[in-house]
Amino acid sequence: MTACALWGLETALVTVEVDVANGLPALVVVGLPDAAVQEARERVRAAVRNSGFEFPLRRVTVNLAPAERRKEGTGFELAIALGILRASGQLRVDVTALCLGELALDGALRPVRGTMPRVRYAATRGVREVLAASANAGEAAACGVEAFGFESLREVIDHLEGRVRVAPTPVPPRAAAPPHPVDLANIAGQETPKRALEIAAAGGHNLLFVGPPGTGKTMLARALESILPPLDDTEAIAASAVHSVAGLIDPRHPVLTARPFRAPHHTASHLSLVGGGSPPRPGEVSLAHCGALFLDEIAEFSRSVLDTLREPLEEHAVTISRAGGAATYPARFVLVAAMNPCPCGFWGDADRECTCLPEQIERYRGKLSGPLLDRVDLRVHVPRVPFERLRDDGRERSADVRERVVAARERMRVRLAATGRRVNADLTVAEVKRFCSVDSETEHLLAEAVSARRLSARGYHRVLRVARTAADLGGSDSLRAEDVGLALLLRSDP
Amino acid sequence: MIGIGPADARYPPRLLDLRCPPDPLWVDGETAPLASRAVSIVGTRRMTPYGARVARELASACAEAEVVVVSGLAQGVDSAAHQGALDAGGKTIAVLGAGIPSYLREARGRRRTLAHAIRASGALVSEFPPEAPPQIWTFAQRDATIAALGELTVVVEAPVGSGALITAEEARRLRRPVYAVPGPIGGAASAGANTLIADGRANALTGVEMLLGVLGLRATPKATSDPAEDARVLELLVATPLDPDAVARRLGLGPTALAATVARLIIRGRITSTPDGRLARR
Repeated sequence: MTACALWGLETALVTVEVDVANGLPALVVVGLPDAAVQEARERVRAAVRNSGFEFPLRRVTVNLAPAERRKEGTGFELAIALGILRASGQLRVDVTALCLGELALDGALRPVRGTMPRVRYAATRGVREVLAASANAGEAAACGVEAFGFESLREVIDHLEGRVRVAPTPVPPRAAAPPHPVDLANIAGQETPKRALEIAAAGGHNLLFVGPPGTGKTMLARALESILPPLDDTEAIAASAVHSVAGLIDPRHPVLTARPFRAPHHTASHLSLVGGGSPPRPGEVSLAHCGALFLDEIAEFSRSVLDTLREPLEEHAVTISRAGGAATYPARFVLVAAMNPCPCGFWGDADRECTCLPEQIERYRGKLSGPLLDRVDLRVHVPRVPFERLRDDGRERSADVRERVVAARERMRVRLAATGRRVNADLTVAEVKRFCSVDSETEHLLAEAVSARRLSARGYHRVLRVARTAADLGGSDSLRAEDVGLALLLRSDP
Repeated sequence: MIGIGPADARYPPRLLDLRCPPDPLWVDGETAPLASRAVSIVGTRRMTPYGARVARELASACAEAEVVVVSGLAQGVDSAAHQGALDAGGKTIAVLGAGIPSYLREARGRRRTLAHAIRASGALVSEFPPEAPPQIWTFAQRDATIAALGELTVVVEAPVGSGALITAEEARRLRRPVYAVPGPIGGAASAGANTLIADGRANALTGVEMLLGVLGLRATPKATSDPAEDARVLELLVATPLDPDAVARRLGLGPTALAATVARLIIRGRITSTPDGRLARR
């Protein structure tokens, strides 16, 4: 019998061996099972009995091989039950399919988390057929194998012995892209913040919105969803796999069609943000893989939580080390953060008096210091929109902006094909030199700013990366003076 | 740190005008700036970005003219004035409302760094014994000492009831000139300073040139060769920092022209972006 173990997104095929021998009646599971696997004994015993079979009154030994690998979760129960039935002669055919599923005491088959990464891995190792709970069958079918969905252990046996054949589950249709909650056309004014949003979507640059309360920072951030380019197939599977491990898959539409947009609340713990626990579960940063992570009121997050964001922002992955082993989850996302300029929110406001002391403001802004801010390419002020501008017309719709973003991504893909990078935000210093050359006049001006210490070396490269994206959005191969200007306007280090 | 009495040659002569000059005056740093030409610049802790810019500009201009800047090392305007003087390479004196060692022990963050920078280029002074803790009344007394140390006093942004008004009052009693920077009507941060002007207790200060003129100094004329577009942007940003959209709207510029103009000004160091992403004059 074959099952599949999961640790993080790392998978391994597990062979379930069952031996039924003379001795005192017992069911022993060996092969580094965790508590949930040990409990499987009771569920398997009851499920077998309540499905109309006989549980052998002899010594039953179940070995999960390879034995040195720790196994967690309930995904092995179907394989164990089938193994016992086969070893005791109640099932008369051999099973070559991958068996995934948890058993209920009455013999019903229940879905398990992480079906998609397990089946995807098994498919690469030559498995062509999967037996799973009905709710998981669509997920498995999406991975390109023949998947059969069942409601109970009895149905599985009937199918295997050819009494009642079940038809393979069809590959579930991709859900229609959901309507976006906010369209750019819903937002009045805010030309520069919208421009920043477009650059972030196209070039994968992280973005910080700063502005007084009630000016629409959250709404702007939500509009990012509507201008991100569509998911391609590999990205869709990669993102869905993380959702599958977290148990967040919709069984009718197991493959994500829209880029994930995750918005954890500022009281989030670091475990919920970057993942953790034992066995390790993916956190918000991994659920945002291939999409966007929105941290509203970022200065209200606790400092230690924000510090844990450094690894995913730099490595585009999170490694969670536990006694049982280390799990790695991907975490490539666009970070969009929003904050007030000061604790009361009215610093520098022309109409309202700010009540904060300078040192309070400094402490508030200090929450975002150093390494985190280093990974934020764009910072933009979101002003209060004057009333007469609230009724302006001729606003651009998200669909039009998205077309430009898709075109810019395509330019990046062609240019960066040889480097293995996907977006301009990931360019290394050497690649910035290669792909972001500016005319001699602009170069001269930038050099002057660097030597006068008005621009740091890091800031210089960041300006060029952002300018590269701005030029890509404008359909230009060379960086124009206005692209560099915009990048300078939106840079995050003063 | 040394304590000097009124009989000491290093004792700041202007302090002798006080009804009861501090005895001894504790000094940590250089003593020479105590006797040189000096201007007191004071103001509120809760300053606006405008107050920050004016305090910094006035202090820098004084420092460039080798006039010492005296202030109280509080948050806000005081710190901006000290910083402006230090940035221009000048000397500055901070008058503390507590004993010097006790202040240095308690200070945290930016003000701690600032205090040590002032020791190296100017002096920390206090009329209170080394271990005296800060009290409400020590600050009022310290405010009077600030007035006595400067030959004139400038109030940059003071709400009603601000300690800066005590300094202004003391300067008047000492018959030293008092200047106040006028602020917007309705702005709480400037209400006290505006009242000083309205009551005739202070002259309105109209700019750096006026301050230097009063001191009998000439402003070193700065070469201003800003193109017309740049000058208009700079003028827009005089009162308060603005977001890029507002600048573009008021000048009728398209995003391309705005980006080009702003880039030029940023690179040349004429404007900078504030921590909340708006444009401000440097």
